[in-house]
Amino acid sequence: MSYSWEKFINNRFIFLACRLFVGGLFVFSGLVKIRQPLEEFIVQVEQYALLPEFLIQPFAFTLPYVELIFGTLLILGIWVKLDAIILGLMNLAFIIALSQAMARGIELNDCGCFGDMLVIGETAGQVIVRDLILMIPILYLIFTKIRFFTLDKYLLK
Amino acid sequence: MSDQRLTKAERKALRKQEKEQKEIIKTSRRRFWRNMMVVFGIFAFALIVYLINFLWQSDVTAVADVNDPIKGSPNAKVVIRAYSDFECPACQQAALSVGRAASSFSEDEVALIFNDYPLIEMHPKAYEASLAGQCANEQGKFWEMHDRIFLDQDTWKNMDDPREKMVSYARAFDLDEESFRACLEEERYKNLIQEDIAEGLELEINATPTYFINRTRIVGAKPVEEIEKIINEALGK
Repeated sequence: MSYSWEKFINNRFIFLACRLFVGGLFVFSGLVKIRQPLEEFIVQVEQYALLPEFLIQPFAFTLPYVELIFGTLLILGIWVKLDAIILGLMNLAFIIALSQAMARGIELNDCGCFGDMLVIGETAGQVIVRDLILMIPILYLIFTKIRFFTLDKYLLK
Repeated sequence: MSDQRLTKAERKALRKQEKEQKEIIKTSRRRFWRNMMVVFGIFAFALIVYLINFLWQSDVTAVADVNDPIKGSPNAKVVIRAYSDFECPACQQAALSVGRAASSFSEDEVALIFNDYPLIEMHPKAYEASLAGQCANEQGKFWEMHDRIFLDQDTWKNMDDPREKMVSYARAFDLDEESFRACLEEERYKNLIQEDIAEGLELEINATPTYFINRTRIVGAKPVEEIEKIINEALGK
C-alpha cells in the first residue's frame, strides 16, 4: 500500500499534471481578470471589505498579472518551488479573505475568482472547500524533488 | 607555498579543487543569467499582455450612438453615459446620485445620456421598463418616466405584469395613453434597446450600473461627492 502510494507521488507524470493543472488554473484566472474592466474587479475586491481604500486599486491591477506570470512560469517549469510557494500563499490569502467575509456575515455576490466572465455562483463555503482542495497539488509542488519536463533544466545546461 | 614543493597527489588534488571551483563559478554565473533572463522575460511578457489588453479595449466615444435620450447639450464638455437596468437596486441608487451630481452643473458643462442595459436573465421586468422609458421618450417625457420608474422600482418589479403600472405613470405625465400603450405592445423600440445592449457588450460591461464620465468608467453606485469630483476633474476645475 505504502509502496504504491510512494510510487504514485514519485511519478513524474503526476508532477507534470499538477504543474499544468495549477498553472493553467491561475493563468486562466489571471487572464479573465485582465480582460475584465478594472473598475468591475475593483467592485469585487471592495465587497470583501478587507483592504484599506488606497490599496484596493493597486491590488486589483496587480493580482491578475501575478496570477498570470507565476501560473505561466509553473507551466513552463521555471522556478517551480518559488511559483508553487507564491501561488500557495495567494490561495491561502483567498481562503482567509473568504473566511473573514463569512465570519463577518458579508454576502458576496460572487467570489470574483474568475472575474465577471465566469460567475459560477458558488457560496463562500464552497469556494473555501475548492481552494482547500487546490492546496493539495500546490503543497505537492512545493515539497516534491521531481523535476520533469521543466525549462529550468534546459536553461541551466 | 610554491607548486614545486607539492607532491604529485597534492598537485592533483589542487587541480581538482580548482576545477570544481571553476565549475561552481560557471554554474552560479549560468544561474544568474538564467534568472536575469526570466526576470526580463516576465517584464516583457507583462508589458505585452498589458498593451494587447489596452489596445483591445473599445473606446466609449467611438462605440456610443446618438439615438439615446439626453439631458443637456450634446456638445457639453462632459458627457455622462449611463448603461443601466431599471430593475437593479444599485442602478436606482446610482441614478439618484448621478442625477444630483449632474444637476449641480450647467447643461453646457454636463450632459447625461441614458442607455438601456437590461440584464433580462436576472431582472425579467427590466425590458418592459426599458420599453416604457423609450415610449415616453417618443413623447418627450423620458426623464420624468426614468425618475418615476426608478423611484417606484419596488412596486412594479414585484408585479406579475408591470405594463399597467407603466401606463399609469404615462397617464400621470399627461402622455397620449393610447399611443403609449400601442408603443409598448408593438415593442416599438426593441431594436434601439438591443442596439444599446450590443454597445454595452462591445464595451465589455458585465455589471450594472456602469457609467462613463467622458472616458472614465465608473461601476456601481457612488456617492454624489465622488461623481462631482470626477466631473470637476473632467472640466479641468
